Amino acid sequence: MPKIDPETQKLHDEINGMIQKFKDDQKAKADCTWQEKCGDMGDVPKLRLSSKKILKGHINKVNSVHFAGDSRHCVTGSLDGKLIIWDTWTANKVQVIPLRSAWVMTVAFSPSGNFVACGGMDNQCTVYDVNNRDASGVAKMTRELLGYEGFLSSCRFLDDGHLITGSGDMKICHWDLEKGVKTMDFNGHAGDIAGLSLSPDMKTYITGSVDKTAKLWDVREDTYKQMFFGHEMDVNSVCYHPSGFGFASCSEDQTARLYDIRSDQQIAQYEPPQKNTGFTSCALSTSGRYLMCSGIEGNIHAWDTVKVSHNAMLQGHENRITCIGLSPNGMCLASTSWDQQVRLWL
Amino acid sequence: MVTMTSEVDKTQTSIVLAAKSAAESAAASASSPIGGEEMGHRQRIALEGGDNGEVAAQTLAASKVTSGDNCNEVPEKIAITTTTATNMKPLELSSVTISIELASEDDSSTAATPATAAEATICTTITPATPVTPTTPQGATPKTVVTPDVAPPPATPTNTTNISATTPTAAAIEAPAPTTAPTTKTEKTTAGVEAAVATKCNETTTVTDTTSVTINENVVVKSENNSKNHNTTTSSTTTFTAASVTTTVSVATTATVASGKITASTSTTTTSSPISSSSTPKVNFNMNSANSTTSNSTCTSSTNSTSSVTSMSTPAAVGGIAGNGSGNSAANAGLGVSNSHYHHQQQTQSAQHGKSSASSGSGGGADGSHTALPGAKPSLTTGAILNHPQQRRNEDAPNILVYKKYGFLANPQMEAIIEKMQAESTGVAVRTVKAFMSKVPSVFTGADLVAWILKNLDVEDVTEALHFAHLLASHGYIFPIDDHQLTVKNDGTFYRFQTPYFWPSNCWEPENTDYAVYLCKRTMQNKTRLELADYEAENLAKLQKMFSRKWEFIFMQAESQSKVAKKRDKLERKVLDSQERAFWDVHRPMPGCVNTTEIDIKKAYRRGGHGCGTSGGAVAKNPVEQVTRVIGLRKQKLERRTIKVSKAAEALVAYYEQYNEFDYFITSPELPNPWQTDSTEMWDAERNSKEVPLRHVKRWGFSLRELLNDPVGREQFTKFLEKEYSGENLKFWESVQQMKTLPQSEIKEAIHKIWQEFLAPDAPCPVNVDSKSVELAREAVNAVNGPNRWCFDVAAAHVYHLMKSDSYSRYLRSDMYKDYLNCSRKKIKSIPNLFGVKR
Repeated sequence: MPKIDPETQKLHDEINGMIQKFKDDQKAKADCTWQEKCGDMGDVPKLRLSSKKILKGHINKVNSVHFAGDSRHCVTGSLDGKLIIWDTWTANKVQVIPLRSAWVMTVAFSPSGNFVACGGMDNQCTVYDVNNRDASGVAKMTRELLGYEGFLSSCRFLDDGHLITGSGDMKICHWDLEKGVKTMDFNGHAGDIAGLSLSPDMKTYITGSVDKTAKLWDVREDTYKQMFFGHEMDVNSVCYHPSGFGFASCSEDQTARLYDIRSDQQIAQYEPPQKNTGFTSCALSTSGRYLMCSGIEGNIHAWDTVKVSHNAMLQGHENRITCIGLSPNGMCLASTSWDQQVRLWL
Repeated sequence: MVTMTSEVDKTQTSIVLAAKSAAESAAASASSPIGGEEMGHRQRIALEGGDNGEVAAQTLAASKVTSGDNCNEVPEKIAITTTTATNMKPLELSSVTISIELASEDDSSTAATPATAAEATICTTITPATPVTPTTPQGATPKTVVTPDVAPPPATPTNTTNISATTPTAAAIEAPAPTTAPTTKTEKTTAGVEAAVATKCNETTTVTDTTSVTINENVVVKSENNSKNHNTTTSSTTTFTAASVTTTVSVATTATVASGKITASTSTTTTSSPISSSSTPKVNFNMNSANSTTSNSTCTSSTNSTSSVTSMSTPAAVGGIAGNGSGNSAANAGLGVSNSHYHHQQQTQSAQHGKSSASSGSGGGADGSHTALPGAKPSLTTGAILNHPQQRRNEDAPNILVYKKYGFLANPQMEAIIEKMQAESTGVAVRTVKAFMSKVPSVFTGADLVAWILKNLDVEDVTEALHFAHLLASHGYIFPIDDHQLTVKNDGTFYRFQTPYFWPSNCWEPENTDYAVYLCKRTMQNKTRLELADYEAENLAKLQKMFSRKWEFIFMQAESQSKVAKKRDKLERKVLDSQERAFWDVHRPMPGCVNTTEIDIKKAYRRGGHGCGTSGGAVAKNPVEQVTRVIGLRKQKLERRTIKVSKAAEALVAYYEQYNEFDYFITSPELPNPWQTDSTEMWDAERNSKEVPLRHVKRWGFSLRELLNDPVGREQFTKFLEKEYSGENLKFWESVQQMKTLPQSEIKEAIHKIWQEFLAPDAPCPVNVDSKSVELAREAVNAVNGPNRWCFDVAAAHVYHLMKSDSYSRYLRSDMYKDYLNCSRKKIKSIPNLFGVKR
């Protein structure tokens, strides 16, 4: 540790004082617990999802899944170096896109369904035009977004022309895809960015990071609006509440949490019955009542968010689940796993 | 014992595969190498194979090259003896000897027949591994019954591959056929199985030549064989420099040399030397076999062939290259046993490729010569890489990081503690417990363990001690004797120490075949304690399906292993069985258990010394500035008004109550779920704006936002407003939203347009906004430094509020909405499956 000069020390003290103030403030605002408030609500039935379809085609660990806006098509990316676009309803492959680098970590479908983006250990983000195929029937690469110093861990389309990415070099980048230029680029966290979730109105987004925090951002600005503490280990994934007033996060520390943006604090914490698994990915149902988190042990855990009770455990995958994604219409949950399968839960 | 003989068309090849299974015949094999060197860090394993003297590497180096005179009549024999100590698998200690003989003999009779140009015989003798107990030199623990003395008989399974290529030689022509330089590297104990399979699908030298060919070969096989640690941090790289072949062909006829691909075992590297038609082709192969485990073997073979023939049809060469090409992608494909299937496909694909080109080139004569590895072990890759850039990048390849990470996992501290625990007097009390009629050897109770941890380690409370014990268990250092779930309970449950041989620090990455053998073996013993759990039975069934082609061998291996096991002392066997089971519990965990042997690559990247990915960096650079910035942000945070948790809860609950009807996980959908029913109603209904589902229409009533979010709803609302003569409100609001999304360059113009159209005193369609908002907007528009895109926000918010409080509520009460509501309800009900199954 370098010697801390008085000035820095003073500033640090100030920060610590402020943190204390926040805590007091949060306490003051926490006039009741979530459980107390919602204790009198009726129980929801046990989540009755079962894996109705298994999408087979990948031949290595599948790392990521994302639905298109039509709730019907989804894209998955696997370490076998392929993106597969599925018609989830028929479980057929619509398109297979071979990648230049097999190390894909994240995929994103544009809401319109016209583009898919992917990236990973190749330290770049590649955008493919799904509707525009070359002679061999493979989707054309429209953009290669370069300039990352770490692997790409998350990307999301705002619309067909705009993309936000989070990467292992702690940066958040905004891209204008029409021009192919980076419009913004800033250090988002003090650690790898692990997850990104856009708000329902597409005006803000949340990022989760291995620095154990989650941050709220405005899509137009490069400073965060709010920062959320609580997790004790890497925040692996975040998911906006459909109301836009809160978000869920899940972490390696074997918990999932629900934060409220307006009250600026954590309002509930969810744990698996046996504390035996960290979580890789989370999703909230359309009404926000169910929280689903995928565990590294291969099960999807579901909680009743309001009653803070463990609701169900969906078994089927045989290895770590890497990512889950809910279709925009809220009917179908897709999960990808190291066991090479993509499962659809209905 | 399995013998397979397949005689392919005489013109090409005749392959004799002899796969022998004889555990006893170890001595008979040319050399039974247990690579002392190879063993490297695996010294702990007591290999009781006393008679195996040769170090694999040495054997390899000692490849015998006999090269006779090139003149006719003199046969030439090249023998490559490749011996590699195989991975000392838990179950089979085996070493594999592969000797490949390339013999070019004079055969006048064959020479006379143009048809028979080359004859290749591949002889494979496989002696499957005899199961040998891995034992530490000192015995796992003094308390364990396993002692070196009882260590099983020397198991030296031999795998001999003999390939003899007979090439007719003729006097006049010095036409050495391009040669196959088969380099074989054996990686796994399962070689027995593998080799047999590989040979099944041999790909051999084909020399189709009407004239005679002389071969002058110089084969040097040099091997630095780094044992087989699959998970070594750097991935074991085996470099083979194989075959510098000088070939001269002065024949005007077609010389088709199929690339010889001899795949002998698990991770065999095969060098194919396709002859291209150029006069002095120099082919450099970099074969990168990144097999599913981790090891990369690099095989470099340079073939110098000088041929005076310019026009040689060499379809086979093409085939070879094609094969290599497709192998490319297979290489480096990733980690985990998972990609096995992929590789398998690749191989088959390349085989087909090669086959087709070969047959087309040599007029069908070459058919069958190119049957490349259809049944090659799926989990191995034999990928040849031609100038592949990937290879250079290998060191940075993410998988390497994972292995580095492995180093962290196999925590030396953990092992030190385990060793302490096993200490004779100060360790955990290990004893043999007498149960009903039988004895339970070498066990300790969970309570003892926890007590020991509390006493000897700096651990405060029981929970912490339990957690620590659980960690030890989850990594497989200790295991419950009769449970697949690797946890520790603080009670009388019995636990046992894992033998150091199976510790994760040995970087195991066992193959599916090994697992198959293990499971298969379990089925052979009718002991209740060895009965397969449900998930194991399932796995077995799956594996059987997957390895159906070589199930025979798996079964054979399992059989021989169980035979050996039966000879052991009863108690010892109990311990060994349980240790083996625990090993697989770690590596093939029961569903629902955390897999501790694989790491998320993202995390590995971060922790694996990847410079820029780690925190610190930018943060540390300018502390004062950073901290000041943080303070600024914190201040902001303090100033922000936050609502109380109760309010937040209320809001979220209200949201749930409003939307639970639309949460399909709570309320089942009104239309058939398209994922389940194969009916398109839902999609069609949504696509066709006329049949807006009732739910949607109902949702319009929730809020103006919901209404405007739905395109149909917005359209309806626009119509309604037009009827009310207040359509400009929505138009204004929409154009403001639209304007905000425009690029900066167009903003000014758009703002001006909006001002002119809606707000200016003489606007064509003035919006009903209070004067204050208009004044604000005017100021913003005429601002000194130009208007910004938010200049109408106040006015727009006002208009939105107006619409919400006035028009929207009127709309909800209007007949228009009610009609729509009723109408769509009716329509929904009346829609039969009109749209059939159309996509």
